[in-house]
Amino acid sequence: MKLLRLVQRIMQMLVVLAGVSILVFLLTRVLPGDPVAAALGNRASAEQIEQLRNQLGLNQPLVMQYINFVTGMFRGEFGLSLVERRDVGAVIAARLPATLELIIASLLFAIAVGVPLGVIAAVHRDRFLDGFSRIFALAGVSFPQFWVGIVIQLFFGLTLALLPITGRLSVAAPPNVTGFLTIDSLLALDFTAFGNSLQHLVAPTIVLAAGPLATIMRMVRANMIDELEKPYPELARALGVHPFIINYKFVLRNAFTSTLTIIGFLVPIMIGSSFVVEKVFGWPGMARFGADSIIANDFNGVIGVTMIVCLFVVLTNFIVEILYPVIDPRVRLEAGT
Amino acid sequence: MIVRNGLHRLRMTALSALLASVIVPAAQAQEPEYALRWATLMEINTLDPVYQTNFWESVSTYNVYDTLVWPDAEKGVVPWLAESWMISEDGREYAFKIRGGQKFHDGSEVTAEDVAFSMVRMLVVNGPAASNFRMIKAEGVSFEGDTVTFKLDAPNSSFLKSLLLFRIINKDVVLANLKPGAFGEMQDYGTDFLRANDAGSGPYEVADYRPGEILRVKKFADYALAPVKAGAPGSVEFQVTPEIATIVTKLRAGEIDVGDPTIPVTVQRELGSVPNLKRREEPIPSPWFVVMNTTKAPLDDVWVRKAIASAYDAETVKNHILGAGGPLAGPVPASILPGCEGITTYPYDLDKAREFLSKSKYSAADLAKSDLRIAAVAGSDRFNNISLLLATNLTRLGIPTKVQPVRWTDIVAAQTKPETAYDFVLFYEPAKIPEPTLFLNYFTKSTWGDAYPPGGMYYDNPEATKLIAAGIGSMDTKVQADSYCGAAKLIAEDSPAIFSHTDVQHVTLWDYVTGFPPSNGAMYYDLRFENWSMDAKSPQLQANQPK
Repeated sequence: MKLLRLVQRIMQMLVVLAGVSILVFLLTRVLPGDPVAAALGNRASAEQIEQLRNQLGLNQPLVMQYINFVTGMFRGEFGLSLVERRDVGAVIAARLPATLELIIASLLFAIAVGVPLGVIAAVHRDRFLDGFSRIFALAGVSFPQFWVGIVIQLFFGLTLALLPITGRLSVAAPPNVTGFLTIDSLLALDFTAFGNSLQHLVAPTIVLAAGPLATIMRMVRANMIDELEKPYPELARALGVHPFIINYKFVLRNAFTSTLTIIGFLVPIMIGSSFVVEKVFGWPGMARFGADSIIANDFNGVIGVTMIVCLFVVLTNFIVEILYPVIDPRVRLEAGT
Repeated sequence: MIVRNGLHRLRMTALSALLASVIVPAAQAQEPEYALRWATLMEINTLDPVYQTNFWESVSTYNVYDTLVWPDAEKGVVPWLAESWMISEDGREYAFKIRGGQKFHDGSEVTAEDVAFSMVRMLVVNGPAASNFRMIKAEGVSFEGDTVTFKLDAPNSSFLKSLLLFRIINKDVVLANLKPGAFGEMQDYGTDFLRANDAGSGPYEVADYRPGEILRVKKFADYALAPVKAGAPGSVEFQVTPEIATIVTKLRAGEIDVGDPTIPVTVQRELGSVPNLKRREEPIPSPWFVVMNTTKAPLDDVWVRKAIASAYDAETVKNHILGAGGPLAGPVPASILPGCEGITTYPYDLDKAREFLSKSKYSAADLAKSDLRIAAVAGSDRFNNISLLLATNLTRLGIPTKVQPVRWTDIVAAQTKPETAYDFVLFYEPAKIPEPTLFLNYFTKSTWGDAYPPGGMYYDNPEATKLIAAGIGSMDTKVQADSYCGAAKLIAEDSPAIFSHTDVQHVTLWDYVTGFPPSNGAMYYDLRFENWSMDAKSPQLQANQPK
């Protein structure tokens, strides 16, 4: 990607982030309800409500509130969360690694399983394996995460007692370095904690990955079929190239560009939908905090989480765009012309 | 000399090692300690006793912090961290002598200075806990030697019982952990530190706190205020599990020992068939009210209100919607105001309701034009179903009524003004202390404009207010009881709210757990874990404990 285009993309990202910040800020301020009084619990007096309102800066003009919000954001401060009673920036910093760990594990699982299954389905088009994969994909997108999660808990947690039912860790936690328990336990050479954290990751990862896995699989299948109908795979076969090389090195590479776009979109969708998984599995992630913030009208929490999700959307799309020419040389060539 | 000392030291060390190898394992074998694991549906967002609002935050702070007084069924309160107290003749000054030898979790001694600091901090920070102490200002707090004095704005007979809600924090620990904040030289008054850390002297100390995931407290070895029961849990783990179905699975799998009390009664009854699980069922003084906006037509007419109360089917609410419930006559549960006979009640009777309506200033045609709204907290099946039942009966009575699902925060905002307050709102509130004024004050002008709950009541009966004031101002328990009873009767007669029922708390737990000692009317005191025990002989306990 040329430097000018890179700068253009970064500028676009900043415009989107600024636009979203204004929109979300205004929306949270004009919504009805009194989150301040609600946060003070039963019997809150007018004086207590006023004191907290002042503390939150809600008595200042809207423009000042927005300026304070933006300047605070650059310091990593998003204002006091009425739900957690600490700065939203601190809440996100504490909870984001849990969500990211779950999403990365789910995405890796979805790609690792979905891509080969898509290739197999395309290669065995309209045969048993293809039909099986179609049912698998349909199930993946049809069953609600909530239900799948509970079924997994009942079967693997209660009946077979193979997996823990909730949480991230049931042994002593390793020192916090990255917030990713799998990585932190490895850094501490604590293999008990590593195994335990992996064990806790399995069930929520499967549940969160089910939908994206199905999407990736069907996308890879469709694109592979398009590519397989082109002359070059036939030529390669005639030249005696091994089918595995043809399918995975030549065809899949060409078919993967649009799948990569879809994966780019899946990340923010997964952040958004992971609150269900986080709730069912008692996973202390950011998405659950976001959902709780919406219910409690915790405006700073809503803004903070929205901004982080938005940041991930633009960043993922940016990375995907950078990856296009790496994966597909045709994009490189088009960009060069 | 040096050698002799060295030899002596060596001998002593060897002796100590020998003793340790013999005695310590024997002691450990005699007193195995187990972890009590409890799933909490709600988050534990703060450990600061001033900011606690939900059930679980309260349970944790009740174990980590201690109070000046302890609830007593007969006397109201008995000495606890306070060894004794004196009340001035005018009933305004309370001087508490602090018991010596009690330690905070950092090993320092609890002093009168810590008590004074805790009270001032609570009043200045003005968090939710301060709502119970509107009778005193920070300037009224002082200490000298081992005595702390509270000077009230006016005599208040409920002050001693209110102290059941006041927790003592370690001043030095707080001052060592101040961060920039809004309280002048006190900066943030330690709010950031206390949100996630321990500065208490209670029977349990914080061992691990990960917001959104877990709070683990462990037994405080130097706790000297009261004997710790044999078999009391060595640690208590609150596992945040925000999904009911998951809590049920964890309970059945033995991953937790006690389930959340908010699991629906019907679900808990089904769990009763699981071997080794037991269900505890206990009436609690937590009244449910359907508040009427008495400033709006036709609810400004006492006969309409009486008719509405008669159209409320409390038995169906208790038996079919909620699954359980106790009786409630008037605004105060009978367990808090015992011996108060003759309070008007309104059993479900539509004919009687029609009779009341015929006495109203509003004609049937007027009532038919009314379009009343019941605000039901959005997402709550219980609130929604109760509201639907009431709306259906009122519509049958000729008073068209609709149910409106509204977010909690929106109800809070609406109820602060009579013009915006809904016609009906539901709420319930547990009596944290056995004090009738907790509920009677709702029906006085002093709470008009307060946030919901209980905000939204714009009722006033000067005669009832006078009686309540007489009870608060008197130190004579007979005068108090008579005054409060008289006020309760007047309020019930005016029917400004439907006095629905009192709660019955259900908790499902493994049968090796013995807990819930008498709380003596004060909420959470039955959840002090030094008074619980776990049966070490139970094979289920051994099987369920984390490996």
